[in-house]
Amino acid sequence: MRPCVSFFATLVGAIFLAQLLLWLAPGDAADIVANDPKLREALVQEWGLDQSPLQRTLIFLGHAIQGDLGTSLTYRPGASVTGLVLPASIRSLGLLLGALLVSLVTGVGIAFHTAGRKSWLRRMIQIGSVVPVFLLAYASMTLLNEWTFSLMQAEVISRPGWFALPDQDSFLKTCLAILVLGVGSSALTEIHVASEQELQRIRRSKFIDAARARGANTTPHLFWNLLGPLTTLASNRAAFFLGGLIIIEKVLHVNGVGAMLWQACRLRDYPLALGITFVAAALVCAARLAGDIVRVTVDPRLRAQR
Amino acid sequence: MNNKTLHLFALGIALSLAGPASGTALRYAEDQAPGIINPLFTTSMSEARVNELLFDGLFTDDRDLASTPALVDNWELAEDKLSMTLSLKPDLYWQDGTPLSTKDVVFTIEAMKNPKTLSSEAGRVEWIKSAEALSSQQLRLTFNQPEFQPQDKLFFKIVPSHAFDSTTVRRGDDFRTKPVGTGPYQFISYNPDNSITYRRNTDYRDSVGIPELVMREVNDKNYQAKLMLFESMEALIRVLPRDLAVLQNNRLVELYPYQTNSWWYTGFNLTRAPFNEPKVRAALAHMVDVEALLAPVGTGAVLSGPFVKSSPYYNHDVAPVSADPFLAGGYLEEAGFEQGPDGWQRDGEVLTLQLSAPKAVEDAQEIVLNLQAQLQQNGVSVTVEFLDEAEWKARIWRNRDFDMLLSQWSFDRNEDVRDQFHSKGARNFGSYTNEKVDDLLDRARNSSDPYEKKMLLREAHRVIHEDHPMIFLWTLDSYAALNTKISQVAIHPFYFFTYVSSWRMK
Amino acid sequence: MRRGVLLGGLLLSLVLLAWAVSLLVAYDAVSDVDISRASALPSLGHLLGTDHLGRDVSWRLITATLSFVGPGLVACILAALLSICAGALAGWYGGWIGEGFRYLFTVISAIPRFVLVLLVCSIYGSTVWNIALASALAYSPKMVESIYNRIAYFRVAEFVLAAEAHGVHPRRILSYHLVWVNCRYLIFRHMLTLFSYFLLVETTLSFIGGFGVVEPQPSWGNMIAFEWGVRDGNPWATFAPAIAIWAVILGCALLVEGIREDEHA
Repeated sequence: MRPCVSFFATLVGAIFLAQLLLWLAPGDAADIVANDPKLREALVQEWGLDQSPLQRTLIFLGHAIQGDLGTSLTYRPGASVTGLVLPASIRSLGLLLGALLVSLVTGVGIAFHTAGRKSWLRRMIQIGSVVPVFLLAYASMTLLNEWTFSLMQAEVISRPGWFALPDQDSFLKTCLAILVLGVGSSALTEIHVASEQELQRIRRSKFIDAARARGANTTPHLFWNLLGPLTTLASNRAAFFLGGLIIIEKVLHVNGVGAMLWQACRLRDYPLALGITFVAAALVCAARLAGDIVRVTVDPRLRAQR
Repeated sequence: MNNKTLHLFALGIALSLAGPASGTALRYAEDQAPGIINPLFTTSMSEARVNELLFDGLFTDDRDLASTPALVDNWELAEDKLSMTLSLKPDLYWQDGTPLSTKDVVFTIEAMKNPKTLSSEAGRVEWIKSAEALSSQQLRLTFNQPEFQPQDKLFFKIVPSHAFDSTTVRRGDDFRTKPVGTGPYQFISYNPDNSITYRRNTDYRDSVGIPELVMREVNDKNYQAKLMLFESMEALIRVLPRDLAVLQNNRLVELYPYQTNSWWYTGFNLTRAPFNEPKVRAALAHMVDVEALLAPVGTGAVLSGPFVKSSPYYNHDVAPVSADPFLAGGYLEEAGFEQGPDGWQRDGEVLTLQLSAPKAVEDAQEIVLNLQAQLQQNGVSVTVEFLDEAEWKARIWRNRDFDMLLSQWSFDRNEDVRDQFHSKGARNFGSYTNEKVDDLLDRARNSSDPYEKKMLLREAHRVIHEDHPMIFLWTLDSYAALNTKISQVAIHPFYFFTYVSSWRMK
Repeated sequence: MRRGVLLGGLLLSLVLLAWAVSLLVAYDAVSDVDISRASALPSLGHLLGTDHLGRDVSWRLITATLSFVGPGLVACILAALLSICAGALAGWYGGWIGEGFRYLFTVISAIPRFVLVLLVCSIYGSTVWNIALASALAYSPKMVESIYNRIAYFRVAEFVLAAEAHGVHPRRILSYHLVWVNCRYLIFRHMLTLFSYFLLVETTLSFIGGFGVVEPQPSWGNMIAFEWGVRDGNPWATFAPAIAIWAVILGCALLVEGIREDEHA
């Protein structure tokens, strides 16, 4: 019950915050279309840019409940924001979940090997993973293109279906996006280090000692106890990946919400930007809610506290 | 990281079995996909190009850029030049099968004129007083004042009246997702990857060569030329100068030069001191080495006035301003400036200016930074700012808040510079006023004699040149790049796709 | 591990040195434009060569620190002040005050950081200072949460109760015993993380363009973008800023790791 209340309270708060930011905006979307002051005025009125922030917030929330996030002003003039955001966010969600999976599986997997040991692998992961997403994406895309092209010129391979990045959508492009997102901007190293620490903590705890003394296999216990902290980690990461998503979609030309948000911000298409912010905030809150539920399920002590 | 790339590479080879992409479509790149497909609301070039594919005007341009009938069969201008009668070509159909009638033409004009439509194109029909259908094939247009060449202004696109409820057209109307036109291509779909597919219109009034066109959004300009080389793209609308060499040497790519009616300039704000003084403007103009500015951004022709070199109105007796620091210093001294430790100054005030440029325009960075360096060397300190589209429109168009700006003007074949240089011109951002120029431009606009008009505008060129309201820079040589598979290519300098029906693809 | 801290410290001091140099010695970016020496390879005169407008790459690399060190430090201080106030008050008083503060920051953290930064840039203009403010605001929830947790934990610790019983002023207990003694490494670690996050955001925005630092002011991000795709260019003009971004972020990560160990000891 309590997590659900906080889910909605947070979401409404986030929308209010975004509206508050817009309240003081010095320029508006009409700037991008109108050269003629008369046309500008008419547009301002039609688009409701002259309403007070409170009015706007209430209207937005009222419509959002009915699934209507408003109308795009400049990105796709006249198109419904819901219609634009929905298919795009499904594409983006795939990337997001993929990246989450990649970094969790790799991070935790390696942590099982390296936790509590001196390992060059930890350092290597750190060195590779701190590279910003935009550099990693651009560099790997360029290398991939040039190598494949030179192989094609040498007639070693025929033209691959995905060639050339970042042009058309392909399985390879999705994989590349997921990998870069899951590794770059310190994503992998942070998950790796955090799970190492958790593993160490669990390994040092008394019940593991007891299990070991009885000669039982400790791995299932480790896994089960790792699940709680991992969910927290994953649900916190989700918000971080949403940011990286914008970059990766922009660089690799993926038509998802991230790239759309970028364009909306550039073209001052605030209804669209607001709609995407709403979806992003909802996703973050949902990830937290899911994290809470999993944690409570895994750890009976938390249930007792409630 | 190396390990990971190798991994991906192996994956790539595995995927290479998927085979090559289909080869029947012509794919062309746009920086930004069109936001809306509706000729009444066009605000960007990519939208204008789509309109060219899907829609037709009453008239269009022939290969020599003279007007030629498109939907119109024949027409007659009244004696008093205040009205004209047009009849449409018979047996023309909209892409949904409805026959085209004069009702559609009347509807288009009325929709554009309807203030509730908020059409960004309303200016194109301002001069038409009314449109009236005489029959389904014949209509009459009445003008506000005598028009000598009305067909030159009748190239706006016609939309189908049956697709709309009333002449109050909205941006959100369904038309945006299923546009219907009479043009050589038919809209098929907005694809999930932001591309748009068009198929040829088999009912078009002419035969159309290439079966399918695909617009692809490639907003990274660094990648456009690359994708041509990789054969992921068949057409590039404008090649960046720095990519010219590498495309020129590739046997898969053919470059097509085209002459655009557009020129670059740096304009002064004549309402601000000291740029209201002709001497100061002349001095600044003589400090700039235009050839050196042009070198890093491409090749082109340096201009002395507001017309392109190939224009009949260009006055070849007027030479471009030469770079002459000595002369520039002379002008400044005449204006009361003297050389101080911080550069030129007058009454203790140092000569400084802010140079504004649009962020989105390619090559603007190189030009601006170079110009800044040149002026600095001559003792004028310059700060630079790059504005995004919205800031540009607000600051420059609306508030006229700038010292000096870098930009370019593009014109249709009328090359009407009245908006730019007439004291009442809507695009006269610098607030340039010269009664003589006003008079020359007014007379030129109302003149029915082509020779007289030419002479008037050449004189205007000379007068404007002497006033230095702006530093005239150049027209750039533009090149389109097309894959050699495409033949019989002709390119319209502004709308690009005007002659697309004649293109053929192997 | 000592080596890591040393390396990280060294890298950050280099950045600070570069920053100090570019504050003291005004590099004249304008008159450095010289087409005749465009895209020169590294030489004694130009240690990293020149870019395609003939500007010295090493000088621009140094001057680019102006785009992120100052604003980055401001962001760190701002976020620290904000988080210490909110976190300490919420942790000390608990109850409604605590819940209120925590709700406020939960709301901020519901909007993904980069989304918040983009929104602010779009609405208020994308100066580095706006990016810094937005980053500080977007990062603060994480800092508030960890300060709150620690202070709430120590609120009922024996030494705190003892100090209260001895009549030590609550303000002193809170500011000295709790925040200074027990949270300073934590706060410093967060500040370093925020600093590297700000560098990441600033260079990313400047690289992709549209937002962020624009020419002629150099940033490591727009330096890469300016040279990327230039044919027959000077490769160092692209590589040097890329390596610099990577190295500084790595340096921050090493330091953060080192401080974590210190505290445990």
